[in-house]
Amino acid sequence: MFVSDEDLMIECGKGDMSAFELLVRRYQDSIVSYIHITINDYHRAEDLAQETFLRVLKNAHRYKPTAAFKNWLYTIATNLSRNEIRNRVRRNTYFIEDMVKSEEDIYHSPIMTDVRNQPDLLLEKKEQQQIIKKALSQLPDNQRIALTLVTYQELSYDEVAEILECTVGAVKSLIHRARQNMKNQLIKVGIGGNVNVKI
Amino acid sequence: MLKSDRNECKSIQASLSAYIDKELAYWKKIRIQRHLKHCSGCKSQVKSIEHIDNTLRLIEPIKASENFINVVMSKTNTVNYHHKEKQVSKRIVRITSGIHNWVRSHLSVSNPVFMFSFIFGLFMMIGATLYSPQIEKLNLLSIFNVQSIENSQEKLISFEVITEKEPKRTLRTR
Repeated sequence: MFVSDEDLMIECGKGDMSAFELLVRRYQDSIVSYIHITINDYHRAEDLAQETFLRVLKNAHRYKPTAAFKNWLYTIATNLSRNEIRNRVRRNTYFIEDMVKSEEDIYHSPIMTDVRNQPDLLLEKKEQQQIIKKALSQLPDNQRIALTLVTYQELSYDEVAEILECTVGAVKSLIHRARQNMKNQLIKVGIGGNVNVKI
Repeated sequence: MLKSDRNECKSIQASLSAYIDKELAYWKKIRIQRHLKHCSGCKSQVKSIEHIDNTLRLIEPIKASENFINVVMSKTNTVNYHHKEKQVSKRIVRITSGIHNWVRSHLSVSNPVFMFSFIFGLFMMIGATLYSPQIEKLNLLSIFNVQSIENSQEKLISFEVITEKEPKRTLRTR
């Protein structure tokens, strides 16, 4: 029998830890993936994902079933990611994955040494993914978050609007501008391909 | 290209992202589909957006590590403990700060002397209402006692007068 997230959350608020565990199992991969794309650091993404679930548990008694659990969860994850990005800028620190800049860096960076022994196809794929990640990281925070939520988490504009606390029109505009900027970034790095059309 | 066509293209282009994400109302979708049939410029833009979307999807979703759930569950014990502790302490803080705010806003008092006299007066009032039956026992308010006796006498007299009156009709037996 499928139990909805909201029902599980109510049970969790009453202190049922098995309900909480089930919620974590349902969303752990998507939250880690979402934070990873947003902040571009896997280990820190795992830490923040753990923090997200702990905050859910902490505030379980405040949860009202009128709001969708998924949106609430992504709102917490988004706030944590934003804080992380802000702190990173303030401290002027960068993650190792950010340091991988050019093609040469990808081949020779210590983090990628294990990839060098892989077949060319895999390496090319990894390289391409790295470039896309890099291009994504160049987008303004709000645009990147909105685009990530729509593209990777497959959320609707209404849900994104609720998470980002803005109107659906604003989300539409954010996504449009994000894709426009993404296209420019991809052309810059040379994988724009047939996207040389003005958006 | 006509100016009207250009304007139409502009408005259509602003909605193309939403069109690809299937986030448009039915009538808007139909309008765009009709426009795309005869506008090659907008059609190529749709392809361009789709290409960007496909490129973005090349990034494979990352999975959480195997011990992720164990780490989270091990951390929950501390959260629960603090949660209960905080709940009680927070409630006390909330109530006291609420009272404090109410006093500050309603009485606008910052003078400690006034506060002391206000609290003293409040306690006196509470005491007086709680222990009022014992005042008579202490015989402090003798004047009131006298008056109360007089009142009771008056009542008795008036009662006597009423009883002394002859009945207007007497019951006679045949």
